Amino acid sequence: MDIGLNNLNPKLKIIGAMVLAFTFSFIKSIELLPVIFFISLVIYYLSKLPLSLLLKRWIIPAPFVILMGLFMMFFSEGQTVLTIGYLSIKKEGIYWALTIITKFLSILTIMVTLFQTTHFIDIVRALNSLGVPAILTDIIIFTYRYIFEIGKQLNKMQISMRLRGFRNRGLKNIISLVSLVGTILVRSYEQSEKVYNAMILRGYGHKESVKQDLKLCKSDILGVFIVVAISIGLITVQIGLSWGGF
Amino acid sequence: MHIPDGILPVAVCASGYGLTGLATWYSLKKIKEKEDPRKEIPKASLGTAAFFVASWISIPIPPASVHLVLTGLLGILLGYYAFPAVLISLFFQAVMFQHGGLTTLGVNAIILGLPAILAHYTYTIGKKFLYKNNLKYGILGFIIGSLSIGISVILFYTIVITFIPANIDVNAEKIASLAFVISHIPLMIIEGIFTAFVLIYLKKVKPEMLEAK
Repeated sequence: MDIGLNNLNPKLKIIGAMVLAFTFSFIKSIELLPVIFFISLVIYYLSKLPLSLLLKRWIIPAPFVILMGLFMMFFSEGQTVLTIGYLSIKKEGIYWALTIITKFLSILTIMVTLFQTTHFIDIVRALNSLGVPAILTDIIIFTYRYIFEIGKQLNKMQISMRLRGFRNRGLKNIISLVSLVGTILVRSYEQSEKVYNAMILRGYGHKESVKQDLKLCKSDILGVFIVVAISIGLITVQIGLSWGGF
Repeated sequence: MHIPDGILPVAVCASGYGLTGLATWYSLKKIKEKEDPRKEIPKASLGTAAFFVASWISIPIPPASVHLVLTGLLGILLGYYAFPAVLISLFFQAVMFQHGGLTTLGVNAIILGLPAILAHYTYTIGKKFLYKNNLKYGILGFIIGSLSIGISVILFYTIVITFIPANIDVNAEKIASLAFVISHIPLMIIEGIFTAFVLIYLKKVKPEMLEAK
């Protein structure tokens, strides 16, 4: 039986990823932080994705989380462990910084695994079959299609502006930037009318556009069982640690 | 103004999803009251994509630069589609660029989406009285643009500082709040000016886009 993540049912993958992400958010005890980090790395390893990809994804949002961590380390109330000039690092601050950084990396790893092992259109279909209204899933699909097209338009317009001597000097050039954004909005508005007419001619609106029945197999059920077992286990241990029962 | 995963307690993330579900339900209810709800879907999608792309434009404000958020303009142009548009934009930002997070998607949608809904209502009322005069219309745009960011900043800061898991020193908290608010004043002003000029531009070039949805 193949339990490779790439072949699992997208609907169950979304449920599994969200269950794990919320379970990781629930964790507060420092003893469990290495456990959730290890679980997320094992799941990423099972996806057979390259490590370099994960590292790239970790780097993008890292500055905000590191800043939050530093703020907590220096400005939390508690026992001082080190003094640097006017600032002092607190024991409790280190604990909280470690907690948010580990939780952030673990949840991000789970989400990267989900979105890198599932085709985007399958995720949208799965969201629809999980009850997300068709209007929303339709907008998601069309937006995904148009982001790249409008992005190209913006790029072309910015190149043309530079070739005509435009230099972005902030508020001094605000009128040019307003025209740039205004033109993008007007073009997209005009395009939307043509798109709608073309869609109607092709039968849009006569049936649910993305709804699809996603069948389950044994590996899906095993996958869900493992995720639910891990989550129940982690939540039970966390509650036990919070009450001092372990 | 995107809160990443792992910072907020699970109850806050779940409440964020609950409130976002409610706001989305309300928006969809209003959309479905229209004669042909699907007619506006391509417009809303292209609008969402255009706003997503417009947020890539940065304006240099020495020593840093700011990128546009444009939630006020989004509320004006997309009406009841504005909240779903914000939600979808944030979903894409979390998935494509890891800005924000999926457990915090609901909270982030409230931070940026509620001002968009308020912008829609403010515009619908204000337009009746101020549309004819360009200066007054521009002032309405400025107020909507800058207040949308102001409300988002207040919501973001209140949520982060209230639900941050650590006990932060009171003095440090005061300094951080002051620094945070001051650092966002330029963005509020720029968003206000930008929204005002875009409204006047659209009034001249494509006035039908400004009919409240």
